[in-house]
Amino acid sequence: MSKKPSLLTARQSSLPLRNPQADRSLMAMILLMTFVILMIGASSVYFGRLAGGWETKLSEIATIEIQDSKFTTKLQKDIESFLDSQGIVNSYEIIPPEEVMDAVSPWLDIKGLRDTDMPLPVIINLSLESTNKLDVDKLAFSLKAISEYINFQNHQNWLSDALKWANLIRLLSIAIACALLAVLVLALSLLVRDRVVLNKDVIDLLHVMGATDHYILKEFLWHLLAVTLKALVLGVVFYLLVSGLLYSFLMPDHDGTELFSSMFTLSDPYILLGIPLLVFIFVAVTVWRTVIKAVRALP
Amino acid sequence: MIEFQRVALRYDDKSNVLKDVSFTLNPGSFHYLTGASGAGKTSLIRLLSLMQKASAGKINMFGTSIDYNHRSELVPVRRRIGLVYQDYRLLNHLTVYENVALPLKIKKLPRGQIKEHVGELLNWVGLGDKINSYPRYLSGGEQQRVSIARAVITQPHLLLADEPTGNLDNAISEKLLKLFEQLHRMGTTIVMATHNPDIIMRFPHPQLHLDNGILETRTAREAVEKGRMGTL
Repeated sequence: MSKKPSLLTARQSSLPLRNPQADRSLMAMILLMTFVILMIGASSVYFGRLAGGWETKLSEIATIEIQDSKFTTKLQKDIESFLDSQGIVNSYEIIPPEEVMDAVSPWLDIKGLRDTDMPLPVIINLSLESTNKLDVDKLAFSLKAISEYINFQNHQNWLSDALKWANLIRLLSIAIACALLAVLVLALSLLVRDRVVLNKDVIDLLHVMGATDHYILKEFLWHLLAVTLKALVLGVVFYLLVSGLLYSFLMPDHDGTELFSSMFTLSDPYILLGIPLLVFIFVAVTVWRTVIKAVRALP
Repeated sequence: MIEFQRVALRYDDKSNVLKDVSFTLNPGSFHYLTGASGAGKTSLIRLLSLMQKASAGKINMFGTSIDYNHRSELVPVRRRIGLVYQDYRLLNHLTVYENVALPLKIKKLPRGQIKEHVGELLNWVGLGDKINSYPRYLSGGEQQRVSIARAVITQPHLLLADEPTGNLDNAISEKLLKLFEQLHRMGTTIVMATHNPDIIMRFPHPQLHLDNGILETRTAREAVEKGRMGTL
């Protein structure tokens, strides 16, 4: 006796479309494509957010750095009174030496270092009202006039480079995702055309019985979309597992709860739902176009 | 009424399979389609079942002029035709019930009505107990009866049979012919391709005879005479 269809393909098709080996290959192809596109999509969104974050957080922030040995009470007073008088400066804060130490120690891979062990600069963080280049340059020039040891940085130079790279990576990711979708469409249309040819006699028979082209199309759509749906669910699960594993390798200090939540925060819901939906729509449209075209070529 | 006017069929290799074929089938008539192998019987069946586009000529079926450029117009015509194949063409992944129900499913009949019709018809062809079997577990005769049940479930106006007894022994062939006779008496137009003279003599009907793509029509008496002489 013939094996009954699974729950997802419970509707018995008029066409003998169930071919476990071919269905498994199709599933594997869609699963892998979905997984890769999800990885690309998530990294693209991640880079976009990172760049956006830098842009909003850093563009209105500037830093004054002064060598510790040159930082006298008088210089501090001069800087403070100067900054108080500047409309462009919203607020400022002299960072305590311990915080500076905390900030640099991970970069130097040293722990428990005291501020006396190593000469550290005095850092003053400024929050700026405007990012207008002229105003910022004027501020930098005036600070330099107070003391030649004042080093003013407003992050704009490296930030624009970083943003350029982040946008380039995003564009590249989108191009790769598009190329993968094109490969999927091509492979799928070949596979569907093959199946139409393979089932030509049955399609003829259905036509003779009075089946419309759309009836035959529905048979193909139902079966192939059921296979696609399974592949998409598995693709998303696989992606969540791999992104979780990657996160655990990259951030080994984080605990399990964070690991779990990171899998979802890394995976933007738009990405998690949008990409499978996009793949589903691409598959549906490809199957639709290919079947109708192939079936209409028959008498 | 079915009308062929100067219909020709030519395949890609340019050989003429059918030449200038003209005939009319009146509603409720029964015709045998005879001719040697390669004479064009199956091609004519394919033209009648709208599986093949004619190279020339006009075909009119049930008041519709057949035009393959208007595919949607072919669907209602096809739904008035039943086709029985020599090799049964049953779908092996479907049960006997599902095979017979398929034309009604295509017509989107309610499930209850389908069940009722299929049950009745399978009892009529003597396969009421095989409803849940798969075709590969049936004998040739049983498979052919399923194929006939599938062809007539929609009560077609035209029943085409392409050598339906070709793979069956005489006893089973006779049983099938009796089924065809019953359908004929119910008013179904039947065209049955055969090269079996015993059938033609036992159940006499007019004949469409093909010889090298040229059609000759014979009365029932002529057909029986030819059968007797063994010159089908």
